[in-house]
Amino acid sequence: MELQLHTFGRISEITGQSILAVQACSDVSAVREWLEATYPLIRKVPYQVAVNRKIVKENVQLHPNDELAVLPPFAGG
Amino acid sequence: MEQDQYLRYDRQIRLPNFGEAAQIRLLNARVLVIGAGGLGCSALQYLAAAGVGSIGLVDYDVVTISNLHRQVLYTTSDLGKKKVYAAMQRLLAMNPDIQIIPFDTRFHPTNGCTLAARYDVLLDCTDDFETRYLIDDVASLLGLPVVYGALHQFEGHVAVFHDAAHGKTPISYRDIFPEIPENNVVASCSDNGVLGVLPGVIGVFQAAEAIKLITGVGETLSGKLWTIDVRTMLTATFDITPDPSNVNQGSSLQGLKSRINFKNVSCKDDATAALLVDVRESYESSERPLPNSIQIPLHRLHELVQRIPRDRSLLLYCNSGQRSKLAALILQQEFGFKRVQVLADSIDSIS
Repeated sequence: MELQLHTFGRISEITGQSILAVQACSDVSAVREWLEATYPLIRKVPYQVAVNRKIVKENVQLHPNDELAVLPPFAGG
Repeated sequence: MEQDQYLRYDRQIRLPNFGEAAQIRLLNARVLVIGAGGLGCSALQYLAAAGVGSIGLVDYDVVTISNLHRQVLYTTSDLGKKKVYAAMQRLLAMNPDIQIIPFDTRFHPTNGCTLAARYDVLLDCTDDFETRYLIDDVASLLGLPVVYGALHQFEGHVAVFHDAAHGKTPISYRDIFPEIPENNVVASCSDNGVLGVLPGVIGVFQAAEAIKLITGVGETLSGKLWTIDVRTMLTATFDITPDPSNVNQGSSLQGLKSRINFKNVSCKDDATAALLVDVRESYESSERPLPNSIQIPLHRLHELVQRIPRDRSLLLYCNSGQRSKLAALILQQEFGFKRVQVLADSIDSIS
């Protein structure tokens, strides 16, 4: 199962792109592990994950066509 | 409403579901804008133009040349001036029908509750996490809605927090990001750069959300996080759900109170209370202005007298009482103000 992951702000800076293809992740925890293993700098950023445009705090099972987003906080004003 | 108000606000009064009732709600509303930088400059212009009756403005900074590409209330001749006073001048020129109350101070734990308690809506236009979390905590404690805006280079956020109207579950910033990020993890505009129009866009949407909160017209972003990337014009709206680990929920409120110094909290609004008029020079009063006060240095009294509302009773103060006595005489004899009093004690006794 390949899922699309949209990144924002500091996360996009670290990954170098704003859309990533994520392979073989059955739940949100697996996505977090894959992200942090592939881009270790992300571990320092307090990001949240949204599934189908809902910010989720618990570990949610993923399904084909789910839309993932990784949201870091913004400071600027 | 007065005749010139019907004319000034005609084009929004005409809107369906808006009308005179919504305009009167705006004219009676009190909004505190925290931060007079990029977001603040943008939001303030439309809040003032729309006729938000009383706008408090909190900022301690001065205008520098690198502000001007995005902080569009300021001109090159404002360089070195305090932002709150430069902004007040521009906004009152745009709309003398409203009251602008400048607070030349940082929003910090010792004054946050006191400043916020006198307002109906807070706008988070700050640029650092410490103040953003403080605003969130203060709003949680006082139950005040916050219109949040934030930027990162080409991207922006808008959300409405702590809106409990119509039985809504209030959502807070800590429901998205429970703990304050460590320093240097996510940089500010000054470190990271920002496209000048971005705070313009985000601040305007913050003003729109504030107007919707006040008037009840339309639907706000309450409990939602709206994002935009102006490089692609892609936008998205994310639902936020309450986070059980949020320190501001339920039994942890005591912990919150201990984090915020709120010995001076006054949650009671008293519209009839005297307006404090600080007649000291700005360099004397820059530390911590009192809430519900305006700064009119004695030597600029004639120039600034139109900023003093005629429908309020006034309580003038300085350090010793000498200058405030003189100012009171001028206001009564030259300008015909009726309800003017002088605070006999020194400023230290009330701050």
